[in-house]
Amino acid sequence: MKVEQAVRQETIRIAAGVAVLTVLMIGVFLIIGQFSMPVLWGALLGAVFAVGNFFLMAMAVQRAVNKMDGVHLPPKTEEEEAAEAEDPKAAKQLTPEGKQIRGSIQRSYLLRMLLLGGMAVMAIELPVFDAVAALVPLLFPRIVIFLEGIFLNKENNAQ
Amino acid sequence: MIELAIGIMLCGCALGAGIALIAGIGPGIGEGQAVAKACEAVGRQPEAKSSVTSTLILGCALAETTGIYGLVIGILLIFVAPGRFVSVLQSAMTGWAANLPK
Repeated sequence: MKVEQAVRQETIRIAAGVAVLTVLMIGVFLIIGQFSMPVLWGALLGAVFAVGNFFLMAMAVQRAVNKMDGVHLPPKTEEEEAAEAEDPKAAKQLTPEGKQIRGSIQRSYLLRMLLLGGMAVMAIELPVFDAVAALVPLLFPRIVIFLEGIFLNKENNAQ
Repeated sequence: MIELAIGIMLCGCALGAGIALIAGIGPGIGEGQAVAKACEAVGRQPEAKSSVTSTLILGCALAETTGIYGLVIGILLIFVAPGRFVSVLQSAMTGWAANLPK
């Protein structure tokens, strides 16, 4: 399956951010005198799984969006929009294609969580990996997106 | 008495892990709903596909971190916390028993 530009671009950005934050984390381990080989292997494992999880999620989203190729839904009428604004339940209703996509995304989420759970158990149980160094990088994509948002806002304000 | 304390502690860890793993349900439901609605939007307005995809990927990643956080806490409570807590409790009880007046 072809990887689209948006997926590639976002994955590269996240991978770069995760790499920088992982190096910073290893630096913190060095400063507090807790650095060892298990920390390095754990950090590598965590970073690889963080980026891999992001990529798999992005691929699932790309597959879902591509399912809509060739599907043309009619634009919403003013009555429909007014009904959705009044009744939140009406706004949550999905078309048959939407329901199918929701199911596929939820299945993909479940599989990725199982994968991450297996990785976390492996990192905790195997002495080759340091558990903290392996689990902390899983939260780095959120930090990268948060920092990216701050810097992009600053750039936009400066312009 | 120490057996009772260990039992309560293990029970607390198991309950906490269960509650933490519930946090994984919400992002899954929300992510599915968000992607489905975004795909409907792409179906209505195909020219917005690339910008919708980029925003959607970042939004899903943000939502997913909450689930990962719950998962990590749950797994730590199952695999790491019981051993640590029991050893802390045992050493505390040993110290307390040694300080008892004879």
